[in-house]
Amino acid sequence: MKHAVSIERLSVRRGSERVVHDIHLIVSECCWFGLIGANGSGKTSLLRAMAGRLPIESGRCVIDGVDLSSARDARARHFGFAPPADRLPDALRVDNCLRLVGGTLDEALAHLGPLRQALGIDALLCRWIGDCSAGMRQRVAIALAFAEGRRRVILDEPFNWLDPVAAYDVKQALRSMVDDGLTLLTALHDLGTLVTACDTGLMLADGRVALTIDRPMLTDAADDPGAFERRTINLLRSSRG
Amino acid sequence: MNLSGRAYVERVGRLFAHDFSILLTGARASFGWRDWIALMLAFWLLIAGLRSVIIDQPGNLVQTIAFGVGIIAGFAIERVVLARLSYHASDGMLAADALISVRRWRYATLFHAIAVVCLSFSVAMVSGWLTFPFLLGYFCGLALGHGFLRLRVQGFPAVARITHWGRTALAWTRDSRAGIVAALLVTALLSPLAGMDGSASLLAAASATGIAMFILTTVDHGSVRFMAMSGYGVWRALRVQLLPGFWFLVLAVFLGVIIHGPAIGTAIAGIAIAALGLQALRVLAYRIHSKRVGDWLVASLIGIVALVAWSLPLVVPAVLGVIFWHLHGRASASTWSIE
Repeated sequence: MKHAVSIERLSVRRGSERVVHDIHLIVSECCWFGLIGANGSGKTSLLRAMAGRLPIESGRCVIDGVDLSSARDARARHFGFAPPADRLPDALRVDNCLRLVGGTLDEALAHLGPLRQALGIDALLCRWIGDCSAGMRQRVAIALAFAEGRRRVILDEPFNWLDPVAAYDVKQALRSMVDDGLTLLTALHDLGTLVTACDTGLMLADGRVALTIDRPMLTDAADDPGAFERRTINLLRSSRG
Repeated sequence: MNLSGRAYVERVGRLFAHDFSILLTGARASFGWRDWIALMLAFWLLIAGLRSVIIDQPGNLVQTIAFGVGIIAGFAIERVVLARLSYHASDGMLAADALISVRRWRYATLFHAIAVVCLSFSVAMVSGWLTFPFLLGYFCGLALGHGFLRLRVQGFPAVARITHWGRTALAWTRDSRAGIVAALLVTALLSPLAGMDGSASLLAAASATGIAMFILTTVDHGSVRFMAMSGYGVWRALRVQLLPGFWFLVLAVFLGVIIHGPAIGTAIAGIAIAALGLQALRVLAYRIHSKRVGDWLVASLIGIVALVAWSLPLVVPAVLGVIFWHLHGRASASTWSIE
C-alpha cells in the first residue's frame, strides 16, 4: 500500500522543551490513523508539526514521497486541519468561516460530504461563533478541516465536547469518507474508538513511541477489548513511573 | 461591498478579509450610534486640545515629539500585525496562507497602509508640518518592531527559558504577601536616606514606590476574564487583583510616615494610589474587552484625563468618576450568572 505520510526520527520543540523525540511512523493512503497517549505525551505537538503549525526541529517528514520537513507552508497546504475550537474567532459567523476557507459556501459544504449532516452544520450557518456552545464550536472546527476539500486531514481529539449521538454519527461519517479515499490522522483518548474505527495507530509516552499498533493488533483488540485496554493502560502507567 | 464575496477576498487576501470582518463586527457590536458620536466628539476635543497645546511650543520640540509618537505607533501596529500572523500560523483556520511569505507581506502591507492613512490624517489635522516627522517615526518604529518582535515571535530556547522564569516571578507578585515584602524592601532601601535633603529623598521614595507598584500592579487578562466567567462580581475581582498593591500602600505609607515623616508618606501614597487606580481601570477594561482593545481603551482614557488635567484641572475628579462609573456598569454586565 502506498504511504501517504512517512516520518523518520522526527523531533519537535516547544519553547525550551523538546516534546517529541525521534518518532518513526508510517500512515498509508486511505487509512484512519489513531494516535493515543496520556495528557502531555506529545500527540498534539506531533500532529501540529505534521500540519505545519509548528516547526520540525529535526528528522524527516515525507508526504507523497517529498521530504517537507523544512517547508511548513507546504505541510500546511497538504493537510486539512481542525483549528482549536476555543480559538475560533467569536466575531465571525459560521458561514463566513466556511466561505473564507472553502472559497464559496456551496463549495465548502460540498466538501463536507456525509459530515455535513453528521455535524448538523446547516443549522449553525447563521450563528456567531461567540454564541456557539463548546460542542457547536467543535463541530465547526471539524467542518473547517474539510471545507477546503483536502484528501488528508488531521483532527486533534475530534470527539471532545460532542454529544453521544453526534460523536457516533461523526465517527460513521469519517469512516465512510476514509473508505472512499480520505487519509485521516486523529489524536484520541478513547480506546474504544481506536479499536472500532481506526486502521492503524501509535501510542506515545513522554514524546516517544511506546507502542506501534498495526491492523492485526486492532483486530485482536476488537475480539477482546478488555485485554487490549489492560495492556495499553499498563503501558501508559509504566511510562509514567 | 460584500465582505465575504469571492472577488473581494481574492483582492485583499483571506487573512486580511478574516481580520477585517472581525474588526468590523467588533466595532458594530461594541459601539452604538451614541458611542460613535461620543467617540467623534472625544476625537475632535483631542485634536483641538493638541492644537492649542503645541501652538506655543518650540517647533523642534513638537517635531521630536511627533517623531517619537510615530515610532511608538509603528512599533505597536507592527506588534499587532506579527501577533495576528502568529495566531493565524499556529491556531487559525488559514494557517497555510499565514506561512506563505507573499501573503504575509500582502496582509502586513494592507494593515499598515490603513494605519498610515488614518494616523497621518489625524496628525495633519493637528498640524500639517508634523506629518513628515510622524511618518518618518512610524517607519522607524515599524522597522524596529519587525526586527525585534519577529525574533520574539519565532522564539529562542534561551528566551523561552527566561520567559518561563519571568512568568513564575510575575505570578508570585500577584500574591498579597508580595505587597508586604515590597513595602518592607522599599522601607529598608529608603532607611539610609533618613535626614537627607528633602527633594533627593522625595525623588528616591517616588522612584522606589513607582518601581514597586509597576511590579505589583500587573494585570493578567486571562485571569480577569476567567473571574468574570466564573461569576466573580466586579468588586470581588478588583479586591483579588488590587490586594498586593493595597497592602503595599498601607504598610509603606505607615512606615514612611513613621520613619521619614509626612512628606515621604504623602509621596508614597500619591504614587501608590495612582498606580492602583490605573490597575483598577485595566481590570474593568479587561472584563469588557480583549487585552489589546482594553489596553488601547485605557491608554485613550489616560490621554483624555491628562488633557483635562492640563486645561481644566478642577474637572479631573468628575471626569475620573464618570470613567469609573461607566466602566463599572459595563464590567458588571460581563459577570456570568445563573438567572
